[in-house]
Amino acid sequence: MKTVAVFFGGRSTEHDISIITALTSIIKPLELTGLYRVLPVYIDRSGNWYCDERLSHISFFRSKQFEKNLSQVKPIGVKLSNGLTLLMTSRIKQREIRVDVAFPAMHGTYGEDGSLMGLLEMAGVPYVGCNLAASVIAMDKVLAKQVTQTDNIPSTPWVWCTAAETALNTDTVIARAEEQLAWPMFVKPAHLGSSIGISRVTNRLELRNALEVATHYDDKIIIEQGVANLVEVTLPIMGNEAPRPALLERPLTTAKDFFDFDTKYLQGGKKGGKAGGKTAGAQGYSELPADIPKTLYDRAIEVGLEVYRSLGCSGTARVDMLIDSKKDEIYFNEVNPLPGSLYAHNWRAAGVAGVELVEKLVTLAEERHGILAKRTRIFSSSFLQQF
Amino acid sequence: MKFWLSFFHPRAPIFLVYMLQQVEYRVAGFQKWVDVLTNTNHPLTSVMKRQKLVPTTKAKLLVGLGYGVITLWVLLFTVWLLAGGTPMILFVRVALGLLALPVSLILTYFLVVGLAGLVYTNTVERKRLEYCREYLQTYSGKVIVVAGSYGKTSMKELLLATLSAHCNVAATSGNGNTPSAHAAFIRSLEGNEDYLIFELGEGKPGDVRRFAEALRPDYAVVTGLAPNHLDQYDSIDALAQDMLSLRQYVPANALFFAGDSTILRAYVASSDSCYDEQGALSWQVQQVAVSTEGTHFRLVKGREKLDMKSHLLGRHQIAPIAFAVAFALYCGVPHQKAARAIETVFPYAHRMQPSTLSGAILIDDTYNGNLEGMLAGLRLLQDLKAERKIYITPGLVDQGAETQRVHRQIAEQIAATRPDWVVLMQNSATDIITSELQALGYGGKVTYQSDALRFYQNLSQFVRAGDIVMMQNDWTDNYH
Repeated sequence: MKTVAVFFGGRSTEHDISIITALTSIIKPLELTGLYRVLPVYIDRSGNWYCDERLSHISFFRSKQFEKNLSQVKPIGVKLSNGLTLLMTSRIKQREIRVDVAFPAMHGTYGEDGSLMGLLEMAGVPYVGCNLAASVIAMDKVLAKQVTQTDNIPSTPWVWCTAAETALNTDTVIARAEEQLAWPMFVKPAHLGSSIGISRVTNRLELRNALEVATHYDDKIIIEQGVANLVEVTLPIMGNEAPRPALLERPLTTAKDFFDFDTKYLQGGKKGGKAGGKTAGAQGYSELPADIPKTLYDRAIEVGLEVYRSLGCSGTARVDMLIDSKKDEIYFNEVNPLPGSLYAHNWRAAGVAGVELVEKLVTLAEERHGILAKRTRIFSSSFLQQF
Repeated sequence: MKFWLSFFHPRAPIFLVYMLQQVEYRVAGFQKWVDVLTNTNHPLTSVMKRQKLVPTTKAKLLVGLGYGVITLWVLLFTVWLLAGGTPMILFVRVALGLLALPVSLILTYFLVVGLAGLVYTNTVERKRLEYCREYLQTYSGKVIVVAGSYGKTSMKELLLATLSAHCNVAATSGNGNTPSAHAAFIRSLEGNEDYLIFELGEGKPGDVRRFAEALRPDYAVVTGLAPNHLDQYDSIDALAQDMLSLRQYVPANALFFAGDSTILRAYVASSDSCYDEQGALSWQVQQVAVSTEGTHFRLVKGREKLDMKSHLLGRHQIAPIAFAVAFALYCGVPHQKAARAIETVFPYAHRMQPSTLSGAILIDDTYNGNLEGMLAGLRLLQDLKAERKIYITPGLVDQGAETQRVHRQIAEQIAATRPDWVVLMQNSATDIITSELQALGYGGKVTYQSDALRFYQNLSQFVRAGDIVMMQNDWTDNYH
């Protein structure tokens, strides 16, 4: 039986969301397949690593005694030579558990942004999801737009700046934005997800305040022009060389009422109650599949797949797009290389059950690893003889 | 050893009374469960998986009795030990004393429940039946009884719906089919009803006869025969004879049989009035359509036509619906009222009850407990269109000597239905089904679940949009 280690938590603002993704959409279905030995590897907010069966249960994290309970679990070590091995110490001896496949479930910084992927690639262990390069690009909204732009994938007009630049001369940044973009604009930290630090602005004063907010969270900021007649859609995709889309999903929002963190995760979706009686998805209510004209639907799928390929995604990712419903124009917005809860609800609607989804992702990870393992990266040379 | 040691668990009386409650306080069932636990070395703490003890008065008294026995044991054991003696004598006293607790508890419950059962049958139950008989002797309304191994509650509810469309009708509630339930029902009556409908249970040999003798029905419906409760009745024949005792109390033209029941048909004469999927009481069934939303068909008699739109699922519903409507028409209910009344009947909880889960359609038939029902569910699954069909079952309990034959028949129908995936809950019937499926060359996926509860609780992880999932029968905690 293969050992699959699921990594979650981490030093990220999305720490808690990661716990839910891991426990409900990954660990549970992996265990239910009966095919794997599943190890929950939890990384706390300070960066300590733990591995214990108790960490598979949500009750552990919701307990008022959480800190105390965690202190009773011994932190683990990790060995990266010839694969990934978890080192667990008890009073009597040290146990080593070799990991056959790693399953990252860490949203945001020091996880989804490529940090964990780099570690896993160093160890030479198959891992689920986007690789290091795709994760780094996808998690940087500016880089993602720069890369897709070279493949002629349209985005709404945008500019970017650094936190340092903003601190030095906010007026220059504002002027650049006003010159190139129309109101309303959206100000976002370039590396964060889950709508943290995002502001919608309609004038200079709001823009100035929004820049200050965003720079609290990130050193790189993107400012995007809003889309009129907005229809937001998102598309989960799975696969390596032959990516397969799920269903195009439309979160139920209006241009004025975009999701912020609280709305997205804490209120179950749209403010003021549900809209349209549609599916309650991972992030509140949504239309699944998106109720838009078929030609627009099919084009959005194509754009989503183009983005997936352009960024070099593999395993799974979710592509967010903005549609101007009057002009029928589709714009790439951003990519989420580790969708919350794997967007399992969408995959189910698309005909992939929870247990099938995780099994497929593990298989994709092993396939990718198998291909990479055949690449020649080491060769002997006489270079050192010159010195 | 685990079983005996678990008697020292602080909640031991609660587990024991839970066991009694699950087997409806039948000594034979309790003994069987105790045997299973000792043979499989499972502790008492393992029994309460699916449900909790329902705190009825009876249950509370029995739990109190159990703690009383424990208290008495503690006192006597202490006194006995304090009496002193040589080490060997003390050792013997400790050993015997420890053994005395589980033995005392088990014997106490056996005796109390056994005696109480006898007392109940001979006094309380007799009094209830007598009460019913006296009340109905001078009753002006008509009495209808529904008996059978399965489908009784459904038939009762259908008759209640169709007759109520035009008449004043009362029926026993839920699946209450004991003398106590009947007496309670009678106490609730206003006395001006046109029809009373009683559901008759067949918990032990002679039950149906006793009910018939007390209720003196004007009409009787026998919904089918199946090898259920064969731990009480010695054979199918004994069960059939009890059902057919209705002949002594009901005129031949007022006694109706389910013609679709293969076992019952063997006991029915050509002159008996039967109803089946082809029709009832001279009404014929035509234009049948089955879907996950219900069962539609047309009743035709001469030039008369009635369109039936039922929310109940499956072809096997046609016969009882047709009978309920035809009988109501016979009793003077206007045609359209009787037909519309059918639309007010919805599937009962856990009996071919449709719902959705993660985009899949679930048909929950987990309260089904008979072969005919299993076969009907499999045929329904065969009729329905789906991207993927999943069939989940542990098999059937209480089949006695018929276990092999019944499960082979289930396997045959599974093979004929050809679901894409069969999930079998691991128990004593699994091997029979598996080997028969293999012999029949069934090519779909078969998986086994050792923890049925865990599987059901996580079913959402296994299903997807486009699935139709049929879940039939669920073994309660007392079956392994």
